[in-house]
Amino acid sequence: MKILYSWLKDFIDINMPPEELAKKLVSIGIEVASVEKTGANFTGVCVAEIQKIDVHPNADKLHLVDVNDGTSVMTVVCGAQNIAVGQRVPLAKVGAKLPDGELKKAKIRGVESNGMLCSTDELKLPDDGVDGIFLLPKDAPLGTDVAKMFGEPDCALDLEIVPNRPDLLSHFGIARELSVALGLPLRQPKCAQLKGQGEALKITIENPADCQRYCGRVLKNLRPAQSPDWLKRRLLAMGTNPKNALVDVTNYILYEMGQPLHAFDLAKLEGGEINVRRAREGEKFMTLDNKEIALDPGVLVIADRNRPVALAGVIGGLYSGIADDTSSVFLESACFNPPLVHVTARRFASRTEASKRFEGGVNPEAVELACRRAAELIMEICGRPQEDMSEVRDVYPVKYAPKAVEFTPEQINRILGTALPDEKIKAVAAPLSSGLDTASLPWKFLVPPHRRDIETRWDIAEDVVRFAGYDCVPASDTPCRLPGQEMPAVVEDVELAREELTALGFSEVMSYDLISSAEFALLGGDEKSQPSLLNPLSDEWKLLRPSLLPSLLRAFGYNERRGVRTAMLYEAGKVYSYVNGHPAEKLGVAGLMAGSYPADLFWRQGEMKETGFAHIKGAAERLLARFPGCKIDISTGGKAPSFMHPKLYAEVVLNGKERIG
Amino acid sequence: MTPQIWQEKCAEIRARHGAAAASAATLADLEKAETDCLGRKGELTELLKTLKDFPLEDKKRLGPAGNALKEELAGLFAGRRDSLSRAELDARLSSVAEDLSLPPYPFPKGHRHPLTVITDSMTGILMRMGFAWADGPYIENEHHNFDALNVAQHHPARDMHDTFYVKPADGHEADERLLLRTHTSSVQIRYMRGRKPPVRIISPGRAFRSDRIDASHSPVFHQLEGLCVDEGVSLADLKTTLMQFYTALFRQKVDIRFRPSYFPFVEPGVEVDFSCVFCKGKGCSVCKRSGWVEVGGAGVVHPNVLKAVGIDPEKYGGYAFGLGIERTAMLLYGINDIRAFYENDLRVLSQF
Repeated sequence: MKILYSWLKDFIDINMPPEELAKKLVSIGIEVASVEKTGANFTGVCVAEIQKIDVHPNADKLHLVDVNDGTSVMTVVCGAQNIAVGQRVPLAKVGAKLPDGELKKAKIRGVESNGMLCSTDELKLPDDGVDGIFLLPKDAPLGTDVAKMFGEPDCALDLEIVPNRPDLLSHFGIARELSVALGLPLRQPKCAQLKGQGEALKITIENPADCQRYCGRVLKNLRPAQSPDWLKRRLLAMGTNPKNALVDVTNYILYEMGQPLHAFDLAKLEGGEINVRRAREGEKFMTLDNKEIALDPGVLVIADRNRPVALAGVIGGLYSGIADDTSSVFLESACFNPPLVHVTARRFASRTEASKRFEGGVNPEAVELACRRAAELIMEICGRPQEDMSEVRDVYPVKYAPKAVEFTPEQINRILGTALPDEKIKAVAAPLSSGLDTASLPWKFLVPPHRRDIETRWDIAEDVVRFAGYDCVPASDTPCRLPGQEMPAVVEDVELAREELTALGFSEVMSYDLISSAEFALLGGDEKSQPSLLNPLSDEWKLLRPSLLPSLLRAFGYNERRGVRTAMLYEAGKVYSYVNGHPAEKLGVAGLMAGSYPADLFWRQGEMKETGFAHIKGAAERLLARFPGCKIDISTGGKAPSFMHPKLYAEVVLNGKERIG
Repeated sequence: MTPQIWQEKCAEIRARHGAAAASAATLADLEKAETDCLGRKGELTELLKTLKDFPLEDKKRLGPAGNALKEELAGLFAGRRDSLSRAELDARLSSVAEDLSLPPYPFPKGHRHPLTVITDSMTGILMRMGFAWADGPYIENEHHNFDALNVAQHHPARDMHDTFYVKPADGHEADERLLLRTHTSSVQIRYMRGRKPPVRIISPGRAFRSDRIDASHSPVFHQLEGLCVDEGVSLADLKTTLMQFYTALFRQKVDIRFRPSYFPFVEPGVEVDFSCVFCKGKGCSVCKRSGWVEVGGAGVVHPNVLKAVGIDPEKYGGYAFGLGIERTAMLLYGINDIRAFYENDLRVLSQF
């Protein structure tokens, strides 16, 4: 998830370099994948035109360039090769503050330079792909501040949010976490709490378990409008293309507050009502991306009187979608049942920014504020806030009940192995709670509505150590009052086999447990009778191997294609089959000898033998001799399976009964 | 026979057989000469037998002289045999004409797979530290792989693992969904169920995820799971254990750093870094100039996991860790592509 530094500042007065902010975020468990500077991070650079280019008297590769910034002409020394008379270029004058430092007057090879022509790299602007000076548009007015052309300096941080913290999937959420970590005050999102007068829609929630809260507001007489530049810029930074003010604001609030919103075209909603209900068996629905899908009661929908208009929390319908000329809308802000959204999003393969947040669970207490803030923002851009807005209709059947988690400081220390004083634990935990009662033991931690993940004292222990810093966890002595170690017999047997085969000169390979149909076909047999994957990555890795042979052949093939003719390979691994209808696995060891013995290119050709049956039988016997407890016979003359030589084939029989190879 | 004659005979045998010993040209000639003199029917043997007919006085005198002669002659024969066999050996050795500049004989040499080598050293250290070895199947049900590990059916955490599901046999579709385990943590449940703490195990083995295949992702990979449950076990014990483990593995002092993270089956959950042993914290490409290298996830066992296996979380605490075996091997052996472990290129394998 992308976060803009400047956007965070709407809510918290952070004042640290982005790199330091990134470190702070990592230290409280928010991974930072990248920190990217955007906008102009310099001053004192203006648009100038090249008027004359002369050769530097004392250097072959430098030029003396006369540039005009609209008010005066000055000479600068320049080493770039891509300049020509008439070009407009960024001119950094003496005193300019560039990302790499302040520009000073300098003599270059005996000639005074009154400034510097800049490349994108020198200005730390996005690379223009040009080797040399950054060429500006021909119509850029002379003397214009180049910084103004690229917006305020800003910084985009790409964050990875863990799935149990959906409350961090917004700028406000990150600011809230930072306010605890940095001890800075937090500002709420701007909202004037304007009252509305227009007519509202009737909202009915069929089953409160499916939808904890649903707020709706009607906005009318809207002027179709584009979003203001500042809003567009922020959306673009989020990777979302601006469409029109209505759609943009709903997206904006999602990134700002983490509350997904949906705007329906009011004119298309029938019957003046909104129903949050399960879909009926066989009901049809056209998605925004023009796909018709059939629904059933497993899906929660938003419906008008007659038909579904959205899959709750996942995607809107084509028919009630917002067009550029939509003039009245119904704005939805809701809190849906997370598993329900999860199932629907997966079923129709449309995991959206909205469903991602609903799946984690949105804060029910913030649903109304998001609705109000969005409505006010829309009206500010394209309407008359006072007259054309209904009041927010708020259906909240299951009120949020604050939950308290009890713990003692001693329990926290026991989980962490720390010796944090009570005061320290109190100081860290209090700002995380919506109330911490330490009057008597156990302490009571009132869980704030956005932190659904806090359920037990272990969760509190994590937050304590997260904000107190993991360095407070000492390295202690591990208690050791345990019975002796045990090693499963099968592990020791595999180890024995490895030892013997390695000593015989076999090299161990490791292969995927998966093989292709073609590899399976070589072994003969019915593919249906072999366990396989329901969702293979590709046909190449589809069936669970019934034998190690395809793996060994693949490994040998890889080497053979690289000019190896002789190899002795083995693998110890699992093989799979159905046993009584259940996929079962068995550990096996298999070896392969190919080419000649002892080795390729051996100079005494006469002593080099093609590996034959005697070799592999000898190896098998040596291997089996390591397992003296079992009586093993190698019997020849049995019927060979189709993939083996009809005559040069033997079976290994354990204790006279079980065929093991 | 008079003593006089006996003595003369002795002198004559000494002269003749002494000369025969000295002049024997081959070991066979020498053998014959020795038999003629000292054999069961040899001349000297026969002569010594006649001593019994002499009176006691003479016997006392002649006996030692005869024995001295026998020893002297035996010595002569032995000396000659030494020089003859030496000469014969010399002749045989110098007759060998082998070209010593030829290439040596290529004895086949077997190699263990690098993942076996690294797993052996990792498990070796941990077993010396008192961890028992536990094993579990690759084909798992959702209960062991997810539910009992506090990953609920529709929890987004399930999406962290791209799971391979195994097709049931025809006619058994109604059974519980089976999958290839996405982590070795399923062994925690199998081992703890039906046991009472203390529990301290490791479980190295394969895990499967339907990830794309690239230089750092493989659908088949290996993890080393660790689990310790006992009274009073804390996050600090985890830190110590990992510190000791990495110090032993890298054979130098290693520091451990925790970073907060999220795994549903631990709380608090941490990402484990060790201090970069490759640059000693000065900054290198392995640690991406941070001085720390990430090796796996860990944390305090979630009370829901303990409850799921019938262990009282109020009484017992525990820690668990999962370390990437490929990742560790890549670090230790300087391999930069995970696919190298499964291509089985003999040029790579034969370096281990």
